[in-house]
Amino acid sequence: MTARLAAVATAHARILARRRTALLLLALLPLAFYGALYRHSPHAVTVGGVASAFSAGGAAIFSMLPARAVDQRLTLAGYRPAVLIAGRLIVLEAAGLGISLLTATVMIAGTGPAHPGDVFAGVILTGLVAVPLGLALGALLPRELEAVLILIGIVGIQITASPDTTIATLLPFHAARQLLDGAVATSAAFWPQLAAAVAYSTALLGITWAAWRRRAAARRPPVPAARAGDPAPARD
Amino acid sequence: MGTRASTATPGRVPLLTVTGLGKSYRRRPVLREVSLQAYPGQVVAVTGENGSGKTTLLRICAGLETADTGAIHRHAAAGYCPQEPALFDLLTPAEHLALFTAGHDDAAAEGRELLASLGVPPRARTLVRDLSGGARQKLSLALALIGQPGLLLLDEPYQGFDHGSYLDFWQHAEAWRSQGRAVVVVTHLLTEPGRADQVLELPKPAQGGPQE
Repeated sequence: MTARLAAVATAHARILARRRTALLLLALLPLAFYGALYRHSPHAVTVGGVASAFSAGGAAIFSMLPARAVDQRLTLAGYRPAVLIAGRLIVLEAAGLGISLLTATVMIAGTGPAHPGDVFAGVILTGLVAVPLGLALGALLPRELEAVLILIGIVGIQITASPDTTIATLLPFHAARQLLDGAVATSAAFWPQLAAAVAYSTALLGITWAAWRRRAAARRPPVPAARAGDPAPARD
Repeated sequence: MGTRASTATPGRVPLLTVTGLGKSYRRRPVLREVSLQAYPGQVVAVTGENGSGKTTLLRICAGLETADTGAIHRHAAAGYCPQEPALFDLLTPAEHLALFTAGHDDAAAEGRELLASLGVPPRARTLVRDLSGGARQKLSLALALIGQPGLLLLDEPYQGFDHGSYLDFWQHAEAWRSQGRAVVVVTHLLTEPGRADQVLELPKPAQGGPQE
């Protein structure tokens, strides 16, 4: 189990590290949103922070969807779907954390918010939820285009909708947005937002596991009762 | 017209038994009443036109899809080589071996030997995306052979091979047969039917009756 988890994480870390241009764009994307607004809008920190979900979620989608056929082979080789998902999760959350720290540092230096700790917390919570969201979209949807469009829709509505509306409170980055909004005004309570983000992430990972188990896992055919002298039954 | 791919071998247990298999996609029948048995030391060739369900049959046998009707019984671990090499473009062959054999040094050594025997340098730093189509297919085949499965399910495994590699493949198939493995090979056109012990020809379901 541990060796397999390490093998999956190592493979996905190598794949991500070899996509240097994509990594650079993932790091720059939230900063581009922030940079476009930071002189003109009081919401620049919120927009830049939540926009980091485009990077973390997009990376997760493209880690999942094109790998369905390989993952099917890996399940035939004995891997469990949960291990295949967990290996990706480790790598993507680590990459997401790096993007979050960079984004938060630049935004704090640029805006000088009243509560800089809330900026770090809000951007990190965004990444924490965005990776499971991307994995779930990648597991549920048949192609990258559909998955990316839904990610754009969710993150875009979260950024533009007023935080008091019902739709905003139901979307996955509401807790992170509360912290980011509070960073430049009245600080929001951290622990309830963390609990909400963890609950959302857990639910999304459950959906990912159920969907990937259905789409990528191998089914064992029944093996009839062995007779004397028969070869050993399949153990794959 | 279908062919029953079943040559009874008294006293031996088939490693793969498929009985009355049926599969439809959106009410379009792809497989109808397909039956076959593959015994130890046999090569079974599955042939048929495009759309006759060869790949679907093999995916069902591998456990990657479910059949609508019928039954499958396997009596050995299966190694599956898909038609399109399912590989990570940004990993090397050696890194694929490490992933597929995680924590099993013996299997990793076996994988390196398999790659070498198929003509792919296992320690090369070349990423899969930069390999030729034939080399990718060989890597895909080697991954299916890791662990010495008793049943090999190979879907057009020599796509992209040059003529020499194609002949090498059949030499390997002969070796697997002599080791007592059952080999089920999907092939678009079997130009040399003598290489197989059984041939299962799948008609398009719309054109024929039961595929036996």
